[in-house]
Amino acid sequence: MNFQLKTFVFQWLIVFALLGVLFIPFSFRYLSFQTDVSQYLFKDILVVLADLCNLKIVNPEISSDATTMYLLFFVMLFFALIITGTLSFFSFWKIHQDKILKTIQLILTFYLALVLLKYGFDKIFKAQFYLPEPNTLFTPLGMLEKDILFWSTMGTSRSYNIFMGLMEVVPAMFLLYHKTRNLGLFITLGVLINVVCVNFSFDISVKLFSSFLLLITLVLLAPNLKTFLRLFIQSKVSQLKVLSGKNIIQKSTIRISIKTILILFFLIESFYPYWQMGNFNDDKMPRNYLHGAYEVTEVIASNPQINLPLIKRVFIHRSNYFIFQYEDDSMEDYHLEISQTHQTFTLTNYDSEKIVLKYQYNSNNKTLQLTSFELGIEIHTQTIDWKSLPLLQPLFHWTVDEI
Amino acid sequence: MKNSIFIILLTTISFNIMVAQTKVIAHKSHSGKSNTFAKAYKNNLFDMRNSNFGLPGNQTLYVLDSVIAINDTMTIIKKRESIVCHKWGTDYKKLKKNDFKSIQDTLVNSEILNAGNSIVFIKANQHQIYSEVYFNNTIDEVVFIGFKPHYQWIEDSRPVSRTSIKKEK
Repeated sequence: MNFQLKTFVFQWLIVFALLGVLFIPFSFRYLSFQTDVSQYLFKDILVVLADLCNLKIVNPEISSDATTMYLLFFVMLFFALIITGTLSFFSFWKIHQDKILKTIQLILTFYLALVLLKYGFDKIFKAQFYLPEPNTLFTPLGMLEKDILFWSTMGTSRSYNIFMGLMEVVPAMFLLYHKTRNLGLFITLGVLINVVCVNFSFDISVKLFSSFLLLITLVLLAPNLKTFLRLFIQSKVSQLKVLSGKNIIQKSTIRISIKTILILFFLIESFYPYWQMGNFNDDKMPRNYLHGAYEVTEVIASNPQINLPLIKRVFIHRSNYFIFQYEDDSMEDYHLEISQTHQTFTLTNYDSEKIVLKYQYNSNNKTLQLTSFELGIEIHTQTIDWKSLPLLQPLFHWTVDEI
Repeated sequence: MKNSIFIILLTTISFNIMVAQTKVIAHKSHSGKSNTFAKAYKNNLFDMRNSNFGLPGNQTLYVLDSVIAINDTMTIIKKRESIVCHKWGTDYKKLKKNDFKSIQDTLVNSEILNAGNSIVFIKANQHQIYSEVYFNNTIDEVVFIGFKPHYQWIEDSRPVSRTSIKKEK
């Protein structure tokens, strides 16, 4: 590849990454307007584009790994190509090209740090890989799909979550300081390669965004690629190029002020929600009323001609869902609304059909009785101590002799 | 009494629970199947909006205060929108008055929120309202003005179709 083409591709990717930073509607707490702006600017274009390409859009909102997100990436790549091609005609660009590119690279570095901090703290405080729900724990392993199995497995180890979280928070901190920036990028590269591989291998629908973060890392590492190759392959040491704000803003007071504001904002965005809620371990957060697993002990029909459903267990999920587990281990989930005043469960299925169950909970013997006057059945259940399942025990053995 | 306070406290605290996941994993976490995911995703049912990018979702909180039917085709909705995003599960009641900005919208030919429907019908079909007006408070907290009076609650509690309401007349 000749030098000019290499430069053009590099600039194209830099501009594309900047557009991504601006318009990918990421779940920011204090930058929520970004989602509104992206939806306003691109939603209609994406729907038309999908129509032209004969692509199915189930939901027009731009969310992770939605068809609209893929289309947004294509649109941004296209716009970046046009912008990069057009820039060379402007004299302003010719004069200030280096400074502008360095500014964009710094923006990309700080964006990467912010995203890593968010994911990192979410892992450390156990909010990303949460404790598996009782219905997941009682699903036979072979009936779980890869993504939920991976998520649930990760959710059983606090220490590994802290380690994974630190592996994101530490390089994020390194990225914020120019002297450790290259080290931070290098660690981030390893971390993100793993994340991308996990997302692709376990079919987790953050494939596109994690690949985008990896692309940013590679783009930021690109100016030092030759130096790294010389070091690792030829064992030749040469100086790394350091990306620093000093080359962009000369006045140290302005530079330090901007950086301080940015770092404070990053902490507010990533750490403050946990401090505000006083929740530093999601596993220990109280769950919703009657949350848990219940073994069905008896099903009684008011009319002997009624075919009794073969229900084995019922579950109450922390996000307010009610789940039936049948004898063949198949599950049926309903959205749950509990009225403690009327002692009723209102179950709503995905067709907005409702079932009302009268419930009676006895806290002494931990039994839950459910009655459906409509269906003419009564279900008696007994609470299961799901937290004593082997998977949730903090087992650790230095030696096999201890087992 | 102590137990009741404890339960209320627990329920209140549980609103603050946040978990991070993708939309698909969120659905599978409550044993949802692929065919029901498509329906939930298409209509943003239940808590579908709360999960994205494998992160605890942040959401703008909306409080629907009142719905005023002007005539059979036009309905005014008055709601509040939080100025910043909040972690999903944040109880809007814990926010201050100045954390919100007021919004007034006019719906024309709304499927559900039109003067032809009773409050009972609207409440029974609240999930369909979300495609037109999204809000985080419960429908019981919404004040309806200019709608038909309450009909007697139908025992089977299934959503009442527009035609069946007309028959009741």
